Amino acid sequence: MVAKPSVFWRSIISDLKAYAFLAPYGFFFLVFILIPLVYGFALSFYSWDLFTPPEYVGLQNYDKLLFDDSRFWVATQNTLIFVAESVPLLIIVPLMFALILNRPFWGRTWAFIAFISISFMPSVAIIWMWRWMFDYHSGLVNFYLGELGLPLQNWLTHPRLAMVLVVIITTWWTSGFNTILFLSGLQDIPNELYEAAQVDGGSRLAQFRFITLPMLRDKMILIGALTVMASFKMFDQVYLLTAGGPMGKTRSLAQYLYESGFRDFKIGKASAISWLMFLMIMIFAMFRVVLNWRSARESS
Amino acid sequence: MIARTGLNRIRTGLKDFTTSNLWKRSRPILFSVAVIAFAVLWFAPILWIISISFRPNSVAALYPVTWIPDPATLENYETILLHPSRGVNIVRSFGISAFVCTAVVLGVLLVSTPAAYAFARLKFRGRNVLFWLIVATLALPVQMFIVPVYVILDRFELVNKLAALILPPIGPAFALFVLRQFMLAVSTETEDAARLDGCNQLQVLVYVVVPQIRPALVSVALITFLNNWNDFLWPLIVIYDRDIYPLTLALNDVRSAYHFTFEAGTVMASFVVAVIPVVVLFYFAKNYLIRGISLTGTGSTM
Repeated sequence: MVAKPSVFWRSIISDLKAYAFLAPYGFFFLVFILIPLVYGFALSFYSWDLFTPPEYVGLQNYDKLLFDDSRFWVATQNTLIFVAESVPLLIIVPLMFALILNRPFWGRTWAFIAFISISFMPSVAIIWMWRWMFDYHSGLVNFYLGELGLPLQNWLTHPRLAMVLVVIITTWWTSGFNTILFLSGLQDIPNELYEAAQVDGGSRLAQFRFITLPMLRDKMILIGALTVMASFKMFDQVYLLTAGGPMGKTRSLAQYLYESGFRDFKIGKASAISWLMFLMIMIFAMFRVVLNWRSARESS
Repeated sequence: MIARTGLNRIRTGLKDFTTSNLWKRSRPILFSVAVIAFAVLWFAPILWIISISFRPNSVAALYPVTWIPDPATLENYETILLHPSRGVNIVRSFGISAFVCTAVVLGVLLVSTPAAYAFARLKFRGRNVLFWLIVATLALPVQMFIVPVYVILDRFELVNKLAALILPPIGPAFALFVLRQFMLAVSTETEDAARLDGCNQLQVLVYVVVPQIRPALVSVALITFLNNWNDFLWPLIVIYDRDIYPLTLALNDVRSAYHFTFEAGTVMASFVVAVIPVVVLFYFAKNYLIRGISLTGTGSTM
């Protein structure tokens, strides 16, 4: 009879010990993740400029954004265009790099560094460098266009070309990151499959089509989802390259949020934008769940 | 009929060639040459800015592109490193970034390692719920946090202080998740032995677990360091004072303080100062970086 409370107390004590291990991280998680989430949601129902007292306005921030703010919809449209254009490139180019780097060849290490190290470089340096290359007067690209007798382009002020440029730079800058993910996917494919295919006389193309692609399928869905999420919150590229111009045609949602919150000091509006962004990302996440579910059903 | 035999002859000729020794021996060389050529082309913009940074400003931005600077000079590095002017001090900002990122890495490792240990090894009420709650927040975009975290920091008068750069990046569960996965993959035999020998949980963690997951700690440290080193959005929001600008903000200032065309050499020298450490670090630590990234599918700590 005496043992029972002691077992109880011992379990309490072991719980407390575990919580002691969690406590330091728990503090940072609470203060910088959990509380901000709840607080940000609450702020989205207020009108507040940080200086005067906040005023409760109900759904007005959302109402304005959704039904009375063409800039919000243009930013949404721009973000979706960017996602739609950058994600396929950020799948195809890294997959190509990974297929190359997955084979042994002389100079592999150097090719590896050239393809991958770029995505670890600071955005400011990378983007200013490109901005200069595409400058109308002093840029390298227009110089060579002129040499070839082609019409010079005003890359940064052309509504369509500016976004194309953002997509090109993003592909060049971040492909290395997805290459790493594809490489780890390729290395998980058992070698026996390729050996068996070689015995049966399958060509390299057939091996790619019938072994590599199906085996990479889940990885590709994962990488696709991660890339959609990363492209969705794109900020540095447009902020540094075009500042959202020309005529707001490259302004992304993340940039609109930054401008609303930290230039116009509309804290409530910025919070509302962040939650609308969250909802849009959740819709993409749903696609991923459905895709996962389908591939799980097919393989079982 | 004749055309057919001609085609067949080409076909057999091709087949002879592709099975010949010459082709078999030269194929890997051709592959290497093609890939290296493409890699150089891909990397060319970086090589180009390095080349420009060694030219005098008067001839830096001239076309057509020449790769070997002639005349070559170090004056741009002298300007940017030794004579800070026009409000830009790359060396000081470099030091600030190094300090901030080191502090973030230490903070992340110190708080995440025990928490990861608790989730990997200890049994307690609410373990799974808590773990999935924490990991689920990893999927949220950074934009969900910037506004409220800014307001919270503002309340505690931490905006425009280095603490605003150091503390918030400790929150995301990236490190916790990676370290827990590694701990789960390590066998518990030595830990059990240590416990039998009378070690308490903390001693087990410090003396048995930590040495075994050292590669994971290095991966996490590197990824955390690089992410904060490169971060632009968060410093842009919380730091106004040029005296405490981290490197990314200082680089952005270089662009407005120096003329892009007439002082291109100086601008590019400052970019090279920021880019080269990354390339060197990447060269020596690529395996650690790759392990950490491929495990979580994300290198993002913010």
